[in-house]
Amino acid sequence: MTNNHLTRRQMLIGTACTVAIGLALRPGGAAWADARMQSGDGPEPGEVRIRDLGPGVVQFPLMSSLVVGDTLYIGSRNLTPARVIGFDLTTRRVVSRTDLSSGYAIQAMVASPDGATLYISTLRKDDDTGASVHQWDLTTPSVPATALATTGDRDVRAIAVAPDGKIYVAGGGEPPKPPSLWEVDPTTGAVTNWGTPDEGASIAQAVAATATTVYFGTGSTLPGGAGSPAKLFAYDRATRTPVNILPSEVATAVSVTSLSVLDDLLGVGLKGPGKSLLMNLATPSTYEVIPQTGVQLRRRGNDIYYVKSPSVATYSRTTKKITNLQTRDLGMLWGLDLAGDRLVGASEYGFVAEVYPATKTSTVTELLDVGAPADAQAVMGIAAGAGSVYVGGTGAISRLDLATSTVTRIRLGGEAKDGVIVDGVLYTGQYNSQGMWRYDPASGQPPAQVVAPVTGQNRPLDVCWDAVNGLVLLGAQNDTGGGGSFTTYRPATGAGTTTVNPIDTRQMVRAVATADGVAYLGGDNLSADGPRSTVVAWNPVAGTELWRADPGLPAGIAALATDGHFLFVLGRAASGLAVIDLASRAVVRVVDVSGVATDFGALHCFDGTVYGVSDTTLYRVDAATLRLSTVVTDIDGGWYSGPHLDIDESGVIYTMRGLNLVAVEDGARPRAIAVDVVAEARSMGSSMYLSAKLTNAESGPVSVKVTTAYGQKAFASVAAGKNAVASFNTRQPSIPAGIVAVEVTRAADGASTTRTAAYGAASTG
Amino acid sequence: MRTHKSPFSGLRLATAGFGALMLTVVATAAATAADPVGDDSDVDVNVSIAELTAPGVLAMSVAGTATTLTESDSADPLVREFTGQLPTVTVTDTRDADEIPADAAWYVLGTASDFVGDAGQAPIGAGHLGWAPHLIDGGDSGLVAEGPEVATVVDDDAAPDNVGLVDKELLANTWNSGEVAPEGSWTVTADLFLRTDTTVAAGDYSSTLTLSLFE
Repeated sequence: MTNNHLTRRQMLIGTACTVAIGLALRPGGAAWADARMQSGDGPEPGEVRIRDLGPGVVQFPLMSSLVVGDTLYIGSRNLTPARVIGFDLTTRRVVSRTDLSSGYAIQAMVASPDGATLYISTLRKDDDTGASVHQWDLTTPSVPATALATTGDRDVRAIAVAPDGKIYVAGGGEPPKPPSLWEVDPTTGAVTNWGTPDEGASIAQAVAATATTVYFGTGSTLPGGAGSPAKLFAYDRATRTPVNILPSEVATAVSVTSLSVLDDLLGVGLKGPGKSLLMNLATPSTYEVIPQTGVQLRRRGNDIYYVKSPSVATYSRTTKKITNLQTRDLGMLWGLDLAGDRLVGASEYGFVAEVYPATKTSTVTELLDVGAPADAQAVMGIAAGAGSVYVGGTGAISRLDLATSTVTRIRLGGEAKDGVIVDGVLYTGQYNSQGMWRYDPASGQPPAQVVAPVTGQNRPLDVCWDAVNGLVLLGAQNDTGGGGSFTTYRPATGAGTTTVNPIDTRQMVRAVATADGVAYLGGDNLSADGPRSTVVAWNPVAGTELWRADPGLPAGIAALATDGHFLFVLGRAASGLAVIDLASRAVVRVVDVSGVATDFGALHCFDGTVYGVSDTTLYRVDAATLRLSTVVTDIDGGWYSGPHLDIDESGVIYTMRGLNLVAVEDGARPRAIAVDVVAEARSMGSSMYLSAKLTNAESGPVSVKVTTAYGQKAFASVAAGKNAVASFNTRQPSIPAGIVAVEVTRAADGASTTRTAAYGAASTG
Repeated sequence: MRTHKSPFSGLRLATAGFGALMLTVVATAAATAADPVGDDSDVDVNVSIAELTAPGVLAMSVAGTATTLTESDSADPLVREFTGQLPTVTVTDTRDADEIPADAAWYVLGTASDFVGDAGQAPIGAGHLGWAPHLIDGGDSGLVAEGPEVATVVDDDAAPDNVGLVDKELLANTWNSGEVAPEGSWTVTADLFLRTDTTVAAGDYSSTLTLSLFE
């Protein structure tokens, strides 16, 4: 049989000459290499069907850890309610839990001097009026934590306790209002504002206290470029007078990120200069430089340990040498403490890491395996296509396989703020300062970075696919310096490019859309001055600007979409949906979206309909009539940083309703074209063929053009209810997974759409 | 369009069964009944045959066993081209739905032998013969596809399909046998074209094109 190239699945049935025999032969049991999109019956015309696909990302995301006695306490992130769990370092089990009455995340905790009380501080949303500091009696862990104090700053990012028990709190969160240093009385909860030593600061990320002095580290993040550089204030506790003691050697640092009292030293973490400091508490002008960025500095004798993501490092004050303690990827450790002969911290990946400096070995305990109370978290971004829906969480993404309804949690450091699926492969923009990542579920390999960010371009905002040029496009923001960047990545070659400040030095690239090989970049500007709604048409191949326009949206741009004729520009703060005619580059209409939009949002165009989602509502705008209508009210997605939606090849819209992923099929889409496309790789003869089938469910004819990696085929007219099948010889014995694109044009009104269908990798034999 | 008297006018294209069956077919087609020997002895033989019900059959037939290629205009002065038509190929399926496995899909492949000269000329490789399949009656549903055009090795485009009918090439296939079976039968043909360079030796050549139906 081998010279006939037959496989078990392929049987010669008969020939012109042997019609009387051989008809008992049947295909074997194996199915075609089949990657059909699993799609049920679509909605009835006019019907909007919502399917609940379950929680978007279920895990125990975390943002802080602290060892007290034999227990590692771990603070949650983006879970409701915010919670702290106790991890027993002996049994390696989660043994206690308390929930907080306020906050969405816990970035800092500290224990009272006697170790009996845990002070827990919160990051809060703007409308959260609950406590910013809670207390939990560790002697009775079954009794929930209670609110202790509310400072005048929204966020608490660091907390310290002086030997006398007084609590000191640093944070901020509402720039341009500068952060204050706050003192909290542990008994009464009384709050005292010690002032704002740097009016130009926008964040305080570090605080430490001794019997005589409180150290308060400040810096800047938002808005871009407007704030002061890092400062380190030493407050005399008696006089409450601050003095900046940050050495001039590091005066241009962006922020003080970590402070720790290490016996007679103050360990100082800094963002920016690539250095950390060991300052003499008695004479701060005397200091030693560790030539590496680090946070959470700890000390044993002459060895200084610190977190250097994704590992832990040690600096020897004796030899002046730095040693990396781990080759295992620990992600970001949100805490580091000495516990006996090991260093202990909780990783953004959701595990507890115990690192033994003497042997450089480590033990990792997955929190979900030992009783951590996982929950659906507020999510970051979404991407749908090729049979998968991805939802970005904290330190992980979840993948829903629509065919099997199975959900896989994939470890990925940082937060996937947005993503797009190309040929079955996911590309994400990863916060913080991680650029663009790639994940191929068929590869069996973990995600990998494909484009590193340019320094400072830390916050990806929008990702889309330019099919004309074969480029993944990414817009980003520089949180600290202002402005933003535009990145392209070509999967075919692995080449990446980044252009910094393609709009101007203040506007980030909030949104990216593409049509006909042109990228459209939408700006937003967090500083008080300058343009904030500039749209730039950009040649993503040449890296050059083609033209620019400004629809004059007063609060900046939230999102872009285009159908190739119009560019739809959603203004922030529900300020309107400006429609730019791409031919004349003029604003032809501003659609009033005040009834459906809130502030941030997402837009996507499909089949001549623009879909938008806000914090409250999924809506559509007919690209032909510019008529606005509501698709789903009260969708109230559980987004961490602005709502998102994505639309798969079949036109199904994926977004969040609460903390659950939902699929929305819009039978009321104004210009929907009812066709179904499937593709399969099939072994015929000596090679693999690719077959694609289009089914026309319209009431009239459509014309069809099928495009694959192995050829094209056009059908001038496919009648209502009928099919078109195209087969292409790949001339390969095996082929990788891919997609076919089918351009469909409805004869009745000329409306057209391009549908894609995925096929799996397959081989002959 | 010019029409030349072809020096290849004797070219034959036989349709035959798969592989070794082809030889049997050719022999059968050439055979005649032996002359009777002795007196005839008539014997009445009676049989009653019921109409066939099940199982149905999937089968292929070809409306002819030979075709001739004639020279036509060549777009390329360095290439001689000879064209013809594949006799109509009919696939019939009389099976009931429950006789057809759910994922079955039939297809027809074709492959050609080298063109052999009748007077000792060097053979012309099968890579010089290409085809462009066309559905004549692909059925109402649209679930039958014609195979892609396969051009020849002398076509200067380096496209992957320019390999000629050396290997098995797709004439037609269905997306799914069970879904199209109610249509009963489908017909397909193909434009055939032989392309050679101008130095090819004159004379008659023949090749055998073997078509095979699979499921």
